Amino acid sequence: MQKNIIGIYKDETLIAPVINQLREQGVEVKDVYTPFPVNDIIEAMKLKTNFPYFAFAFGVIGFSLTFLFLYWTSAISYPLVLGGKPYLSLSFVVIIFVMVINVTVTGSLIAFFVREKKGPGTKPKFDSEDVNDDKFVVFIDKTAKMTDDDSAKISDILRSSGAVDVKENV
Amino acid sequence: MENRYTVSPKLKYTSFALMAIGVIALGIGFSTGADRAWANVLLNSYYFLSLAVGASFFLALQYITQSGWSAMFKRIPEAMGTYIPVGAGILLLFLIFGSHSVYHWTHADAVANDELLQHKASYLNLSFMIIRYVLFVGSWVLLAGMLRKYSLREDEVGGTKYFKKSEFLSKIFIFVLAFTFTLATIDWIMSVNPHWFSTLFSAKNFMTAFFHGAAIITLIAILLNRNGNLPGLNKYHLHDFSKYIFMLSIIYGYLWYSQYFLIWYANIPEETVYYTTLIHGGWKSLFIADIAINWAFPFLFLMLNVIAKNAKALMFTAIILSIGQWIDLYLQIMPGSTGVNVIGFVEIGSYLGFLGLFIFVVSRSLSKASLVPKNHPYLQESTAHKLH
Repeated sequence: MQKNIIGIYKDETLIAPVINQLREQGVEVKDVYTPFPVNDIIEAMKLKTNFPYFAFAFGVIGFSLTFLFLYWTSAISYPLVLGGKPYLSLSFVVIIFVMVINVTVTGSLIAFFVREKKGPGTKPKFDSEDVNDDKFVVFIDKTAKMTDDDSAKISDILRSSGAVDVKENV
Repeated sequence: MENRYTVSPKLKYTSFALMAIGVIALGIGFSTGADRAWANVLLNSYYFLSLAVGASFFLALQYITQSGWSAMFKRIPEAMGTYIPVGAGILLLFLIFGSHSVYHWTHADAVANDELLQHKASYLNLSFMIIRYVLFVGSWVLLAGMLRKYSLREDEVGGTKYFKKSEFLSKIFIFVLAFTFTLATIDWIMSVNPHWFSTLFSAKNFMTAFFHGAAIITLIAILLNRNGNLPGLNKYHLHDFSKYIFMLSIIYGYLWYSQYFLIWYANIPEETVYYTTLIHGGWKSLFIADIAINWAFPFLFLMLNVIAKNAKALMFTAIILSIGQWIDLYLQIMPGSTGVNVIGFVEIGSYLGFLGLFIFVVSRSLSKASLVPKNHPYLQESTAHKLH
């Protein structure tokens, strides 16, 4: 079982400074659990995401598939002149517009669950009463080579930065 | 903190030089063909007037939404709003002396043989148009001027009294603006083609004014920052500006498409003839350039987060968009007035002339007050603005 040191906070503004402070000491924060996204923490953690590129790719896929489908139905499989308009017509735009949004949203949602390995029935990564409701929790890996002095020092930093509670070996 | 912007002599003389070019270009235009010159006067005076009105609309929206991020920049739309009386003055000269050259419906003999124009004559006649002009422009000058006055008083007095007053005034302003600007575009631009009508036209032009107004506010903010006058501009502000441009480019594309698509699909001859002229009458490349520059380019370019926060990329976008708006108006005015697609020295020179006037007026207004408002209640939020 992986051991962690956790610092529990009630105020999200305290967390970004402590991440930088720990980094100066050579300790990387593994994760921060927050009830809502906090931009300062994302920046301090130097988190990068490829999600926008995923979304763009899904948009392009949605565009191409919808266009091919519409072209196939209205120009190849069942060409029908409606009101003197050409087979390949501007009215495609409306359906393509809606389908691009549809494919992008559903695709991004599925990609998110696949990448995070989440889904109905999966166990949470960390299940504890400490990590719920309005609390902000900083996670630090307690590695094998970390001595008791090191972990005590980390706990001190967490405590002095305003953590409500610090727990080791959880 | 006193942060004054002073107009550098270089900028001043540049604006004078541009105005001189404009005078020369219009002089050549009037001596070779008055119709073409007057059409250009209409195009350019409307172009910069719509920028000023769009910027005032932007300012009013910031008050109504109680936006914190933009509090630092509100002198820019205010200064652009002071162009309204100047631009409107030139437009009045055009309406009095030049409307005969551009508007088909001002010719009595044309109306006499045209049942449709006779039917419209009770609304579409020059004297009533001037009365409407006075109402429209008067309301803009009054309301934009009051917003400016409140803002300047706030610098001296402080407190939230003037902010609340401005917020209330802004609520009136956007309603008045939506109503008057809609009718104004019908009067000044749509009546170039008096037989044609589109219900979406004025909504599209109103949003275009807002769109390009926002782009020019961004451009001025970045230029002031590079000049060292707005040190508080950070990448989050830039991101918010680019969100405005991005969002409005989608609205532009949406309205452009809606107008085109409905006319194309219904295929009523008196509506379709407008687009037939554009597509088959030698304007096709500009017609495609219009939607490509104003919608496709900002939509695809600003999608990338890195570009959306980059000052140089945003400047580039704003400059391209200012060309895009010119093309948009060129296509709305020229086919119905001169009927020939010529972009020569008269067109470019007169544009530069009006640009010089616009630079002169806006930079003068910017230098008249502290560049960053002093007692705005959201100033702290604006300077500390971060993406949340």
